[in-house]
Amino acid sequence: MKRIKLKDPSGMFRDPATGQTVIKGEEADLIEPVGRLTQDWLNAGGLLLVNPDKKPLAPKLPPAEDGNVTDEGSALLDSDVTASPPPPQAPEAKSEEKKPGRLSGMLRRKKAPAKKAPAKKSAAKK
Amino acid sequence: MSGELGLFDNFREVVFDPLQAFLIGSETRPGREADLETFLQKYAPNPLKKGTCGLTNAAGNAPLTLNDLFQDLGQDPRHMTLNNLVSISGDVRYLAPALVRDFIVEGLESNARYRDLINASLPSTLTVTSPWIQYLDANPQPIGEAERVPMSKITWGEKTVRITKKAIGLETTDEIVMACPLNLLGQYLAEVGIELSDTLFTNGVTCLINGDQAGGADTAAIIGVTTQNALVYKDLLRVFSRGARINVNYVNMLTNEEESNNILDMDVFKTQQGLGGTMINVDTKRVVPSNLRHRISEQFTDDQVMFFDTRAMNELVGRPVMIENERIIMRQINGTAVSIIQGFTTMKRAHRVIIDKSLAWSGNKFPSWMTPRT
Repeated sequence: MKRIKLKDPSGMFRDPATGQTVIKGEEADLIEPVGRLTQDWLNAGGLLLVNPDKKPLAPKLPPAEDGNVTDEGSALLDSDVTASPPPPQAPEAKSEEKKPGRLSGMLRRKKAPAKKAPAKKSAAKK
Repeated sequence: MSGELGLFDNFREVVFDPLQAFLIGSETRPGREADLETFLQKYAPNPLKKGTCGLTNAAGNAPLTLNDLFQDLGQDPRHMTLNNLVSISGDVRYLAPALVRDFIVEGLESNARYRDLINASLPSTLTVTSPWIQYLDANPQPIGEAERVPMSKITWGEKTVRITKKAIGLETTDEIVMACPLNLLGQYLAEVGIELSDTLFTNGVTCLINGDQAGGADTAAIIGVTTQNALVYKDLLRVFSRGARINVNYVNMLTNEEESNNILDMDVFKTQQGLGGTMINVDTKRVVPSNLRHRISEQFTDDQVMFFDTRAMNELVGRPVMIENERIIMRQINGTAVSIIQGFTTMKRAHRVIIDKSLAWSGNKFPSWMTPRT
């Protein structure tokens, strides 16, 4: 669930279409589908999307005191911010190829295709 | 007598086209709102007296009313259906869309709760650049003989307010058009106007809460109460007293239904405050309003009460209520679209304040922009 808060914590926001309400400095769950007024406020920066924790990579840390906030409202709304980052590409396979080895060029050319496949699989597993 | 006004064949030229032009406006003049009778009496160009506006009855001694108009057409609206009107030969069939619009506007005006929220209704273009003015150091200072007069600063800025279109579609079947007398049809169509009025009221309340800037720079202030979760009269007095110091009259109150019941149950509102109850009668009229206009809106939580000055908000009308018709032959129905282009713009941010009893006063006092100058 995405969470939002007001940029200026002295007031209140209300979207009559969805009932979305944000009061002062509190964080509120973003009601989906997002109302047009809420979207306008996210685009204009009046509402800020609170960064969700990125779970899969590291153990959960307590949120920072200053509020872990981004103002890229609409962009973040459109993209899936909760998804884990894309898996790292398999640099091992390429680096292995570049490694200067003892084998002659001809041998490497023959064995390379056979080696490439397992190297990619292991990278994908990671 | 019928036909004396000469509108039977000239209705379109004399009334309908000028009415449309009046409502839509032009590049130099924004559209304005008027019901048919008002338009006939005040704004319709008089073909008999060039350069003057307003039509008169056949005798020429009184403004033209709708009854005069129907009389001139030889029709009785009590026994007339929309179909009768449309099927009359001549220009007078253009009276039908004007009447449909009139019924809806009548409903809109009969329950115009949103007008309680605004100071004025101003014609405008679709995007409005509204000025804002801030006075700094505006207090007159005592000065000595031949001493230089201290200068105050007046800063000026501008803000952009966008107004939007609200629309609703109506489908009327042939049966309604053919069988329903105009007067009865009018009552049902007035309901559409009432619904439209409700929408505008909700939008107005939302503007009072959020302000007119999506960046959040114009939201209403929120303050807390002395004892959390218990709203008492003293919490309301705090708003009135501050209002008196910053020259704002918080004479309008908005709550939801639940909080309305709680507030109206306070002794100060339900019990007669007669003479003899106190040693000294304090004239509080300069601080506490003697009349508080109260409206209920579901845009607030159970904890909130909003107070606002009558000058807090204006309505901007880009195009008044517009009716457009089309005939869908294959379904034997008439489609009617009702639309209005309007919006709201706020004046000073300090004109609006919300008390939230879930918040403690100690940590939620008046914001800096509500600080008195002296």
